[in-house]
Amino acid sequence: MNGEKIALFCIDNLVWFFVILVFLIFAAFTPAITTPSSIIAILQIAAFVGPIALGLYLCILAGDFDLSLEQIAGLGAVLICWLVEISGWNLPYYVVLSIPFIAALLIGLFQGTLIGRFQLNPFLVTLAGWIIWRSLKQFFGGGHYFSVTKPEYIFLGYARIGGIIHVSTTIFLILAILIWFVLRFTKLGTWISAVGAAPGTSSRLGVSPGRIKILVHTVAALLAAFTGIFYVGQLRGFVQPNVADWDIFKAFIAVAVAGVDIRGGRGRVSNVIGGVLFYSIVLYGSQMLGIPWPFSEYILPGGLTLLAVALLHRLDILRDMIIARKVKVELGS
Amino acid sequence: MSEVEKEKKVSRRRFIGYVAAAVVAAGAVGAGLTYYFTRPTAPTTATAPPAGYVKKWPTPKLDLKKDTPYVCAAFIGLANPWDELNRLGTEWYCRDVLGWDLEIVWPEADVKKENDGVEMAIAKGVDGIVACPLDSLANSKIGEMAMNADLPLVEFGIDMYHHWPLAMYQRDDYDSGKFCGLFTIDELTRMYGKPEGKILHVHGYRGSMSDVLRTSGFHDVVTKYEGIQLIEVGNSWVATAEYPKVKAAMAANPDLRGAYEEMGGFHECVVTGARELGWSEEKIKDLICTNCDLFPVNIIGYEEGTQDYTHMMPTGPDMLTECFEQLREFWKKGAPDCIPPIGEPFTFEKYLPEMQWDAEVDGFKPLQFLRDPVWGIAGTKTTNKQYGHCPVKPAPCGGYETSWVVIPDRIITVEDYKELCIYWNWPIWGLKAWK
Repeated sequence: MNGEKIALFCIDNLVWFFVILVFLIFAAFTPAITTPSSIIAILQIAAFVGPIALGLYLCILAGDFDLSLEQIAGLGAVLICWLVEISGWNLPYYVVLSIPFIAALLIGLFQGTLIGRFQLNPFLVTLAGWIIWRSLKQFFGGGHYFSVTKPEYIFLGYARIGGIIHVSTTIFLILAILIWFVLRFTKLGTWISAVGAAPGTSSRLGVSPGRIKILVHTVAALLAAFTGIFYVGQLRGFVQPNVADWDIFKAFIAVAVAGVDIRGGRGRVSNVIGGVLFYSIVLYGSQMLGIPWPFSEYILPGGLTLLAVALLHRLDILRDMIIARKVKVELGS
Repeated sequence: MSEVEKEKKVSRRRFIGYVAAAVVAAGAVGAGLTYYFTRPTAPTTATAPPAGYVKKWPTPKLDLKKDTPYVCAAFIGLANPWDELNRLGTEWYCRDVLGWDLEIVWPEADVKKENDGVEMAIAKGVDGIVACPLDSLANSKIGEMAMNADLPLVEFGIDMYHHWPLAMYQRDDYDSGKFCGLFTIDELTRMYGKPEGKILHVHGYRGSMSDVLRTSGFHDVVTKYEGIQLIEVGNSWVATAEYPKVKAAMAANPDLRGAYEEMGGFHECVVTGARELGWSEEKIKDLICTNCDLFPVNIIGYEEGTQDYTHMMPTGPDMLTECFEQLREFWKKGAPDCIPPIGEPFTFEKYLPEMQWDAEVDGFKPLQFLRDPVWGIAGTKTTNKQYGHCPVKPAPCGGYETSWVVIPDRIITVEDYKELCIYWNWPIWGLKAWK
């Protein structure tokens, strides 16, 4: 039995073995990756992909997904810059910083309602959203390379706590812990997984899949807004209108490597953090190694993700076999 | 068949399946690598046309004394200052100054949309087309459509693989890279006694015309020196996306001596990356940072002492004024008389005599700047020998058929390339755009 427990533990937390493995491989070739500044840099990359990955994870857990999260993040960043540099309204900083959240809330509710209440296909709804929010982003940002230098706007993406860890990294970790708490210890968490795993059954048990979907899409959009605000500060306020483009693919890599079941209902927050770290280490390590760009940009992350997903798929089957055997033994006894 | 045998058979099948999958995967990787290392490079010089080939030209069908030209202007439709300024230049010169009717195609960086937009404009009955193809190959359909409709076509910014365009107007990205390279070599020699050490090269989107030209200009200068090691990163024009990569490369190479940045915002990546890695301000200022752009962040860089040199070339709503004048000349003289002969430098007076020099933007006369220019006209096998300091290259796409007109912002030579100069079209048009 102990062997089975260990096997299950290893399977459930496989992504962390990947994280350690790739880190050690890169460390063997380029020891500079083990320096504190490199580790902090890796954590910072994770903090930018992280909120989008968490949002995507919640959607997938509930049996959906959301392609538009990257554009919601980018729109948030551009809106802040537009309000500060172009509008001429001189709004207080706390009002400006709340605008991305208000926009995300409205977008999340809108898309969530279309998916949850009117049962439209999430792929098509969020694809349409991707196009619309991108157009809005370019409407506000078109023709401008923003340079927002006021500290109150760049603080969240640029500053460090005690000169060590970035504020953005800390916020990402706090968000992850909050989501973990909700999923682990509240009924809502169980309902989200239940809706993803078996929407029909959960509906018969009194859980409204529609409402849950509206909720997860709204929360996911709000999480994406954090990434948008981080982007304003990342380069001391230098923001382009195409900010955050293609970030959704990074989030998909993180979620896929984390072993989150794409059909919904299964997946751990801790593993999503692992997935995000995996992506960040591969990105950072491959650049440190000076691997030629077609390999470092495309082939290496793509190939490693494919390998991890294939392995996870095989191990998922093994996990199901172990659990089935365990249940059989328990029922027999 | 017993269960054990069945299981064995399944296992064998599975094993064969795995082996087959591994072979296919290895084959695919091998094929990919073989293709990558042996792939044909895009033609950089066109070959002469086959014997007996006769170039077709569009027919001038407009009487400028009676008709008001109706022109289609197709942009790449990216939300960046370069393209926005091109659009503003077009609206100003074509619509406000010349009084022509204008049909704008703004495809939002979508190749198909650009083709469709031009097709729609042709269907609406435009008399001529000015286009910046998003993709040299896919948007060569614009050349095909213009040819089928017998309409004159003038390109700017990016060339297409088609023989129909009358001429291609371009700022010189190669020049930007070349002078950044020269500055880097000079500074390395001044600071370290000889040109050697590691230089970070932050690329834009790989394979794009701008990246290729900015890279080749820089590399043509610095790769002559064996002591220089290039650290190459980047693959987009988005600074926030490239920042982690720049920082990683800097962490792995703390002994960097310089950075060549292909886009304005990359300077912020270098400076922020260095500060994040704990480099001293003195070390950051010692880093020889050259850049192909002049964005607000680069001006901040100059003020802070981190940006050492910028050589901005690829802007210019004035390019569009020349495109429209080129169309006017075509309707007046027909082709090929309207275009400069390949290999021959020309003057406005001779080739675009009706340029509206006194047209104003907010009380400023931007075209005055072009009063005394030196243009390079390129085609196959030609270099501008008369003006050796103006690097004219063979036309990459249209080749033999297309005059490729290189327009320097101002004539810069190896003697004066470090002098301060004002790029008129950026701040003036920029202010208009940012109002």
